[in-house]
Amino acid sequence: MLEVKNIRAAYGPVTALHDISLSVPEGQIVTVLGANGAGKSTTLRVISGLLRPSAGTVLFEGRPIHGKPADWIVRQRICHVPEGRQIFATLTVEANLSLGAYTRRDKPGIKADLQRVFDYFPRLAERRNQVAGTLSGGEQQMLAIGRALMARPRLLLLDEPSLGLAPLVVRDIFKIIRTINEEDRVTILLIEQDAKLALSVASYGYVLETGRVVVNEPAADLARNETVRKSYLGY
Amino acid sequence: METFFDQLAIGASTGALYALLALALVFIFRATDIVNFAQGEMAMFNTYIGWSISRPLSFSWIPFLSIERHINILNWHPEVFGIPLFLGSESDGSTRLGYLLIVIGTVAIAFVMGGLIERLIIRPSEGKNLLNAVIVTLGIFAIVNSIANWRYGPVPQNYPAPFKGNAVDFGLFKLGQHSLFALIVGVAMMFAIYVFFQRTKLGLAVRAAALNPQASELMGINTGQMLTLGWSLAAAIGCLAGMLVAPSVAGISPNLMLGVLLYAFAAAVLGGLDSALGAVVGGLAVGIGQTMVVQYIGSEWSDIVAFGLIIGILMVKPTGIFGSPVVKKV
Ligand SMILES: Nc1ncnc2c1ncn2[C@@H]1O[C@H](COP(=O)(O)OP(=O)(O)OP(=O)(O)O)[C@@H](O)[C@H]1O
Ligand SMILES: [Mg+2]
Repeated sequence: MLEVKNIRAAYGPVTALHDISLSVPEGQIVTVLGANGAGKSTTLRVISGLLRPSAGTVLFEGRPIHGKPADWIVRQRICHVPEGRQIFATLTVEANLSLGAYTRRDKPGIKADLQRVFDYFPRLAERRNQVAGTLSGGEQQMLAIGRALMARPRLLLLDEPSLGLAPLVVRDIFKIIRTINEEDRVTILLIEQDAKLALSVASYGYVLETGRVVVNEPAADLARNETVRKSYLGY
Repeated sequence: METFFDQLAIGASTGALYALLALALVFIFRATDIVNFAQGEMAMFNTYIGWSISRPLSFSWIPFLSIERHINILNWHPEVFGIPLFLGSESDGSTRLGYLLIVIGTVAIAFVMGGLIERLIIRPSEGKNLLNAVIVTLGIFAIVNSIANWRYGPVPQNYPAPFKGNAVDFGLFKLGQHSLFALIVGVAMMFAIYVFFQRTKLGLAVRAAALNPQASELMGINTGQMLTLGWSLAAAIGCLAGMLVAPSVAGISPNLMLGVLLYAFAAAVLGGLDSALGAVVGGLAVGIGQTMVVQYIGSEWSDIVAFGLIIGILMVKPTGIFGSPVVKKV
């Protein structure tokens, strides 16, 4: 479904990605792991159009999407839940969610999806009129994911959904990520610091180091790979 | 003799216009962190465009076409809610476009000009330093003022107003027809602005783009377009304020909006530069306060009291009354 080929990307003079290739088959969860600064978030930023690659291609269902503006890419139903959530802090929960559906016109479908998001995250339903900035960290993460779901994505890019959350909340969120993948059949590209957790839900994994892919294997093999675990994943 | 309540009503009417201009300042500030010093001059220039449109039209310059003859066909007086669509024909066979048409045409031109200024001047000059853009707005201020002086001259010109009759007596107070009209239009505009930002998808998108451009892009919002729209709306609102100010002062002149802009700034800062509600409350407070000071203390005290008060408030509460505490965007 998604093919990233030999991507190179830089922030001004700083080259963040040297050569990244990865592929995400339809219906699967693929995870990208690696140390801080390895280039995981940058890879997602290239896919979602926030950053133009200086070389390489990104194909979505065979069609090139690299270099296209972010708002166009959202319309292809590729949705990026960025690192640090980036919710609209002074708007209500409901306004945040309706912004998620900005590209859609089908009122009944939007309403149904709002209900679905509230089913996934009942806490958001209780707090629908609350200003988003006053939500707890976990609730904000739920909102960020819910907001992306409102666009009815086909490919969901998740950047560290567990960041700063209590273990119990992380477990809930991962349960929901799995449901989104299995029931709603959303393909997911997942970035995660908790490699063990990510590999438990993913079917395939990539390990990045300083802007390059150093290992790529089925998730089960990665989880068993002693050397990779010791040298890159640290558990 | 004008009573206290008369003064209150006049102050509210003036204040509504300050509030409109203050709202325009707030939009641009919220969207771009730029204080648009050219807001008033943009409004003044657009008001001049309205004035040009309102002048008698003559088509005699078109060769072989003596349209003056036929223009008398327009000698009819349709009305919309009592506002004449055409102000009537001149005896020389030319005609004046109706007030409503002038307003619609001028506001549309202002809307386009506001967007063009953002696209062609502000955006390329923004760069890394916010001060650049502020200097640019000051530059636009000076240039537009000079062009208006050169093109239209410093002498105030009559400006059309739809209602010029006697003051309306409400019992408790009397209010001139034009002031009443300005008050009603001002309040209606504020309501329309509120509905746009609070109840429409596009309005929500404009707010989102101002709050967090990157997250907005990820929602599929074209933030560049929203920025342009913000400037367009601000210009249109400012222009409407200008068209309401001109008839209530001596008429239109290049300095039409200088004082108004200062008081609108005072209003915006008083309410909090990032708060729409603050702009409205601040505008009314400044308008009423100014009228009272002029009436009961003396007109020379108007600026001193207004700005003295504002400096005082800013020393005590730098974010204004309704402003959110300064949190710098990253
Ligand atoms: N806006 C930026 N400007 C300059 N350099 C940046 C910027 N964002 C990221 N970088 C650099 O690019 C490299 C990759 O960063 P990236 O955010 O992709 O890492 P990451 O793998 O997501 O790390 P983390 O696990 O800490 O989130 C880093 O060296 C970082 O310093
Ligand atoms: Mg990251």
